[in-house]
Amino acid sequence: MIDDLELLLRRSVEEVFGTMLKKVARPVAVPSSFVNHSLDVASSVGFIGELTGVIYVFSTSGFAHRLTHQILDLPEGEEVSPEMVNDAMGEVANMIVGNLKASLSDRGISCVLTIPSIVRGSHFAIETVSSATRRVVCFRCGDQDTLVTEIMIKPIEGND
Amino acid sequence: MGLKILTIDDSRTIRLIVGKAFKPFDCEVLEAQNGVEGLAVAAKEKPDIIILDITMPIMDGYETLTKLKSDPELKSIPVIMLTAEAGRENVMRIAKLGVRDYLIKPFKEELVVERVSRIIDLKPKGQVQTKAKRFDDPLSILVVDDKPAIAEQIRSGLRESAWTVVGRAQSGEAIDYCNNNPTVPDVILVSLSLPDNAGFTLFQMLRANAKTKSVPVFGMCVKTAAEEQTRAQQIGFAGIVTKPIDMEDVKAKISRALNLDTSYKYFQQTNGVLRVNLPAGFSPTVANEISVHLRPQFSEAVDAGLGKVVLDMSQVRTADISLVKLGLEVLGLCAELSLKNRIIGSEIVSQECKNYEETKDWRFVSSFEEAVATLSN
Repeated sequence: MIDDLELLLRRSVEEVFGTMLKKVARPVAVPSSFVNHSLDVASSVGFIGELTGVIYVFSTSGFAHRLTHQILDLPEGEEVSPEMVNDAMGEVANMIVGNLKASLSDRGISCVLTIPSIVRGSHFAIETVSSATRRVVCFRCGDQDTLVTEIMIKPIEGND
Repeated sequence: MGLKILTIDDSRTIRLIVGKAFKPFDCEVLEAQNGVEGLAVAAKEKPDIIILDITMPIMDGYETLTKLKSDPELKSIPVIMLTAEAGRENVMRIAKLGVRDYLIKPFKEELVVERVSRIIDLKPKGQVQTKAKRFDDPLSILVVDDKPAIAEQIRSGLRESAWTVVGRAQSGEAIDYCNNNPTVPDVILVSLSLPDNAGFTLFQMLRANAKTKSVPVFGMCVKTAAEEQTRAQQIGFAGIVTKPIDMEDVKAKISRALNLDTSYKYFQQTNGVLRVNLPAGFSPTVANEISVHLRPQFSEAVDAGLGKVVLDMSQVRTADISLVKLGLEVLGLCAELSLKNRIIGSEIVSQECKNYEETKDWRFVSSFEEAVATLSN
């Protein structure tokens, strides 16, 4: 199994934020229960192949809105539709997973990505089968905004 | 609108970012959200380049690319892949399908512009002119020289004109100036004696930048710096301005490089007459400049219903061979187009013309009013 998943995930998020948003995403300790009810936008992209799994990117709708504004470099005050926010957050997740996939590919592990999807809501929980590997990395952007990323990987066949 | 760029991506965010990246350029960005739509737009619009994503619903980038390359009408359109799917095996697969380049998300807008401009000739908006600029139109000139006196000398030499001069001492400052201003300079003059070959490095950076790659760049050096002059001409500088700087030479070189319209300085349509004015500083260079405009100006005058021409040599001090040749050309055109004509000239020029076989029969009048009066008889 990959023993530095958290590091790969952290680097992917840092690169996407640095390049597309010109923002620093600073890793912080994961809260004991990160899925508090304010993180109500979850974008996800899966990967299938020699390694199979999914990455979720959680944020508040306010932060997702601000990120969309920033990624599109829109003038202050310009309205952003919920569809636009969904699209932008899906693309952020896509780039994070794409970046992680490149690192895996360089280690000889190939996989393909799924198209992004978005879940909005405040009272849902994502659970995995007990054998899946699950890692959570939390980031602070600026003083107040929090982004939580979660990776879940299906065990590679033949491994315990 | 010149060039067409087609972005095929299921993410509207990416399509918007690509559209924004090319906003400063004279091109149209077309959009499609999957391969099927992309192929239809490509067939209809025949874009100059396609920026293609890989992971898309309905038809992915690989299938789209395969279909593009198997269509005789579309296969020559260059394709750049813009994908989040990096990694060795992807790069190999993409390369086999015949793409011109690929970019990995996340990406900087400038990088997309740079890669596209390596393949198609992007021009900043405003640089593609519908009408030629005139010599007396405003122009901006960037002078890059570590000696501020040079920029000052050029500024002072152009103070009578509508041209503005901005001076920068270092190549980095010049690049920042070009990148941070919405409009690029019309002309750039670069010292070839900047330390560490910086003048040549700057030239290459300007050529690699989509915003400045078609701006004429002149090298500046002393007359004796033959090696620098040869090197500059070999790598594509528009010309050399030698120090000490002759401002008339600078103006003439800039005018030629930008193909500025100077005809208004020499031709006037007045009182039903086309007046051709030869200036006090008449020289072989000026004669050539006037000669270039002669036929179009005469055609325009005839189209406007004018039937008379006055060649005004009154400010010219001496009749040299360039004056004689130009006069013969004017009179030849008048004969060809059946235009009545008169020549205004000083007593000295009139006498000198009697010494040439070709001009000994020229008859001069002393003023424009006299010319017009005799043409009306």
